Amino acid sequence: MTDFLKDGGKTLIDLLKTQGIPAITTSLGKLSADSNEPWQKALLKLGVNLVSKHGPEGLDLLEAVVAQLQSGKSIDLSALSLQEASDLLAVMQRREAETRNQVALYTQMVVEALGKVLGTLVSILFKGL
Amino acid sequence: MTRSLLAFLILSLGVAGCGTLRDPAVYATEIQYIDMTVSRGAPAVHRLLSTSCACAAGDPVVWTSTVEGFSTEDCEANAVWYRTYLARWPWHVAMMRYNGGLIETDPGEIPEVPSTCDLSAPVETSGGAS
Repeated sequence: MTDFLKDGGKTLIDLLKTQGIPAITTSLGKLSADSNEPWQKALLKLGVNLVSKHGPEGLDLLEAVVAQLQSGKSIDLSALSLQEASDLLAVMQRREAETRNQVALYTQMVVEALGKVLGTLVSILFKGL
Repeated sequence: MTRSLLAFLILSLGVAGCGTLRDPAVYATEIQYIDMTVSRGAPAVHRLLSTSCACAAGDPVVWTSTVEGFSTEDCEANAVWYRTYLARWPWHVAMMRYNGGLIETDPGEIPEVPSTCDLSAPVETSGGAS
């Protein structure tokens, strides 16, 4: 998440600042094409919705949200509508799920590797007794 | 050698126990309670929108009040609540359970929240409606 937020998130904010709201839809296509994960596309969509609905204030909201995501802090949802809050929570939940899936896969590999080592050590121990 | 093996066993047991942050039973009950709290409010919002508000189709749809004492802003806010609830609430709850390790099935990608005048009946989740 951090890499995308550093690059894609900053790119999106810069784009919105420099090119304004009408240019967002066109430019979003390229950013979305560059996004690898569905949650990245969802974050971009949230950005467009925030700016479309709130104008310049939406940009501030998006910037604050990205900064909070980058720092790993909990997000202040109070300035968002219920649907915007749902959009953001959905992005975070999907990201956590994808990380969880990767962690589960890695853990399985580690456990299998440890199991082999453990089996070898136990057999050596029993031979030594 | 024996010391190394014991150290390895202790380390392995420690790693195996690292995944538990919450009591699963309490966490599952918390989610169920939150689901119950939200879901049991849905029928009232549904009735309110049906009896006190009118919706004009479009993109986006426009909600207006049809009764005194209930404003158009109230209608819009309740409509946003209801459509977000219908489209997303069961999915958010399922994601809470999945990310918390309570279920094994990934709920999948984020569902869209449609902009529509359709007032479908409240969804049934484990929270239930009363």
